[in-house]
Parts: sequence; C-alpha cells; structure tokens
Amino acid sequence: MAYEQLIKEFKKAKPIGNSDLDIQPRYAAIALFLSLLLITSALITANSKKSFPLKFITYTFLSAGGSLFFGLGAIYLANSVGVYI
Amino acid sequence: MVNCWSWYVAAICIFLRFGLCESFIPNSSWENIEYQKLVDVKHAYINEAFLITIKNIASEPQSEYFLALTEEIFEKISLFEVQLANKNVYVNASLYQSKCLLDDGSVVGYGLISLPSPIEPGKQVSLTIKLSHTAHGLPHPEHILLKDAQNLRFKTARLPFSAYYTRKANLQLLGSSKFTELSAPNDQSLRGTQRDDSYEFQSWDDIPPFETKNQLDVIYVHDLPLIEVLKLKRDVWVSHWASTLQFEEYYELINRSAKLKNGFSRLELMQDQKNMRLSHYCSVLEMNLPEESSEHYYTDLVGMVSTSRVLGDNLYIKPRYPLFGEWKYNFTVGWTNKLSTFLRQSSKESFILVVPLLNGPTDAFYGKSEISVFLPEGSVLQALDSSVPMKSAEVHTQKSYLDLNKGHIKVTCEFDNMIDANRDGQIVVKYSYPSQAAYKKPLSVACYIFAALMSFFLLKSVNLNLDKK
Repeated sequence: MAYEQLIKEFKKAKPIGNSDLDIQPRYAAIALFLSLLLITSALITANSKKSFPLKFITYTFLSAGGSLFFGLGAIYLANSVGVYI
Repeated sequence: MVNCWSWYVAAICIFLRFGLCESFIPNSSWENIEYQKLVDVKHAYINEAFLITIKNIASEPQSEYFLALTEEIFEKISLFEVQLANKNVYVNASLYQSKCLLDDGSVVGYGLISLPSPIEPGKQVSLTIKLSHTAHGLPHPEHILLKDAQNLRFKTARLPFSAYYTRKANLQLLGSSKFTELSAPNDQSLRGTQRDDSYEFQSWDDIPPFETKNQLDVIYVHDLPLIEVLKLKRDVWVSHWASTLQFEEYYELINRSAKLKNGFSRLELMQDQKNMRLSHYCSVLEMNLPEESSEHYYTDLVGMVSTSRVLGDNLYIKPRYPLFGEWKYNFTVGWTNKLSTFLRQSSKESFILVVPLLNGPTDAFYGKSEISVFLPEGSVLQALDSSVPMKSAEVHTQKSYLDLNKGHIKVTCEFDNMIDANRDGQIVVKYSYPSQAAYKKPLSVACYIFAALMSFFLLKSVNLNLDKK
C-alpha cells in the first residue's frame, strides 16, 4: 500500500484512548493481593481432609482464579516499574 | 600469448563500455533555457538547489526530464525533491537506475522527474529542484591546531552538468564567509566574486551537454564539527497495555573534521573553551525529540552518563570526551512517549502507526541506519511504507519480557545516506491486533501458574508412603 494512501487512512482514523499509567500500580497491588488470597485458599484446601473430588474441584477453581489475577497483576506490575509490556 | 590476452581484455572492456552507455542516454528532447545552481555549504552535508527553465524542443509532448548527476553525488543522495517553480506543487522525482560512461571516463547517473502533465512542443516550464547529499567538503589542511579555524575543500561542476543543451547558466555558492578558489582558470569569465556570505559567478551562455571541463575547486571556512553517524540502530516498542511508545537509539559516530596536529592537550582545550566560540570539535550534541517525551536516559558502554539535560523537546547530551577530528564515540539514548500521539485505530482490530524517521543530532549525516518497530505479540503486519526510499525491509519475531508465545513482531527497515533533515520523514505501519491477542498475554502467564499449581496438587495426592501391609 502506498505511503500517501496510508497517511490518508491515518488522518481519517480515530485516535486511541490512553490507559492511565499512574493507576496501574494500584491495579497491580489489588490483582496480586487477590491472587495471593485465592492461591493461599487453594493451598489450604489441598491440605484439608475433605473428599478427593470435592477437594479437586475447589482447588481447581481457586487456582484458576488465582492464576488469572496473577497474570493480570504481573502485567500491571511490569508496567508500573517501566517495563512496558 | 600476452598479446592475445591483452586483445581479449580490451575487447571485454570495449564491450562493457558500450554495454554501460547503451543501457541508457536521454533523448535530446529538452533545452535548458535558464539553469541556475545554488550550492549551500553551511551544513555538514551539501544542499544544492536548481532553478531550471526547460523548453520542449522535440516534435512530441514530453513529460520526463532527466537531471544528470555525477557518480559521486548520485551514490550519496539523501534528499531529492522537485516542485513546479512559483507553485506549491510537488512533482514525482526518483533516481533512475541506469548509468552511462562518458568519453572522459566519468560515470553519470540520473534523477528522473515526471511532470504532472506533458509539455507541448515549443512550450516551457520552470522547475525548482532541491538536492541534498553527503559528498561533503574535506578538511584542508588535514591537520590543524586546536585553536585554528577549519577550512574545507569542495569540488563541483562549475558549468551545468546536464544531459541537455543549456542556453544560459550561473552558479552561486552560499554558506560561508570566505571562499577561495584553488587553481582558478585564466578565463576571467569563469572566476567568481566573493560577496558577504556567498561566492557568485557571472552567467555563461551556450553550454553543451555533459560539460565536465573547468571543475570548480574551492576552499571555504567551516569552523563546525562534521558529525557522521556511522551506524544508527533505532528501536521503537509499541505497548497497548501501557499505551506507550518507547524509543531506544544506539549511535556510533565520528567527527570528520580536521585532525589535531600536535595531539590532544587538556590545557589548550580549557583555554579554548574560555573563548566560548564555535569550533571544529564537538562537545555537545543536540537532539530534537517528539513532543511530551519522558523517562529519558543516556548511557554508553561504560554505563549511565549523567551529562545530559532536557530543555523542552530538546535533549542535550555531552559525550564523556570532546570529539576532535576522526575521534569516535558510541552511546545509547532512550525516551518514552504516549502511544496516542502516533497510533490511530482505522477499524475494530486495525491500527496505523506513524513513527518519525529520525530524532538524532542536528547537522549530522548518516551512513547506515536500521529502524525497527516492535509490534505487540499476536499482531499481524498488514502494510509498511516510508516517505524515504528504504534499502530493505524485513519482518522477524523477537521475544521480550513476558513474551510466552512467538514474541513481538519486529519490522526492520534499512536506510542509507540520510541527513538530519530526514527527521520530517515518517515510517507508516498498519497492523491488526485483535482483543483476543491482547488478553492472551495475561492468560499465558495464568496458564503457567495454573499448570504449576495443578502439578503441585497432583504430586501431593500421590501417596509414596511405604505401608507395612
């Protein structure tokens, strides 16, 4: 595609919004705290004396939730310290 | 045996000569009614401007004009733009690939100018041609004292070097307070006259095509550094999660000024710096950054360098040592900008990024430049182009922090012979980046953590105890 055509398309396109970098450390702290909470609960469940199927299901859901929040927290934490993902 | 071999070699040379010339020679379909050439030597590189009035002397309408260029200039062109004189209308201009060997052994290249509409036989049109190249003046003498002023020696065609017959021509040199001609011709009509900041020649009439006699060899005062960036590696990182555009540039540069005659003396340098004058050595580099840049840093191979200052949109960096003639230095600078300044969304998943070509030192020229744009992981490149012709473009992947799949898409463009004026140029990248690709990154991290946690649970569930039974 020619340069002139791309520039014309750029001028017609809509600007993107900016995600606020200043608030990302707060998001990172919240996400990592929730992750810690969920993963700790999962580990406690793993050591409990419940039946295996119940333990497995509870542990899976808690681990999945904790992992998701950890993934988000890792992204926001990296952005907070200047390593932009 | 030797005679046969020399005949064989001569035959090949003659064949090659005809092969080169037969590749291309412009038709004599134009005549230069007036040909004015202005050469500006103020910068480290050379700016030339041509004001040419041309007339179609063929029997058919013509729309292409070939601007003849010596091989030295042709190989080092940085900018070539053409406008219709007195109108703000740019005309298509490019470098023609074929070259020709002239009778005197010199090689000629061509700039091809495609007029917007054909010119009828007998009609005239005026063109304004701007040319910048890095075939700059050389220090003369080569070695000087630290306190001496620097002179440069520059050679150019005195008479029009054109593929067409020229009725009237003149030449003017600008950009220095003093010009001195070396080996001035005996013919007074060919000699120039020093004015305030220019060196002017009277007009000449009836010049044949490809006139190469009476070359102009001139020395002029240019007491400024000649900064050449031997290698530039510019990386631009796009982050949608942080809405930032990070720039990192690695420079290897050299000062092409006159060398020091008696070696370096710190006492002489301190005495000279008290005079607060411009000189041929470089102690500060000024870089014009994009608006609202932040998080600036300046390092070299030793480590962080603290001698830098940001004033507005300008970054001033002071190398660890002043750069005298043929002294080299390398360093890295970086900064961050908001992504919204450079990126726009053309559709739901499609984005267009416009990145400036250069933000480097002012009054510098570049050898090899490599500009890489790193698109987010999971994006797909759709289109790429630049306002300046690229030498090459490649697409690879490169892993960076938290890249757990294929990595960032690295689009690398190579350029040759750029000058600081190319900072107005741009690279445009169009790519698609679906939301799924954006969310895949935290999901990838989550998957690894989840896999580790489930592995822990399953290993814990396995009973390895030895039972008496």
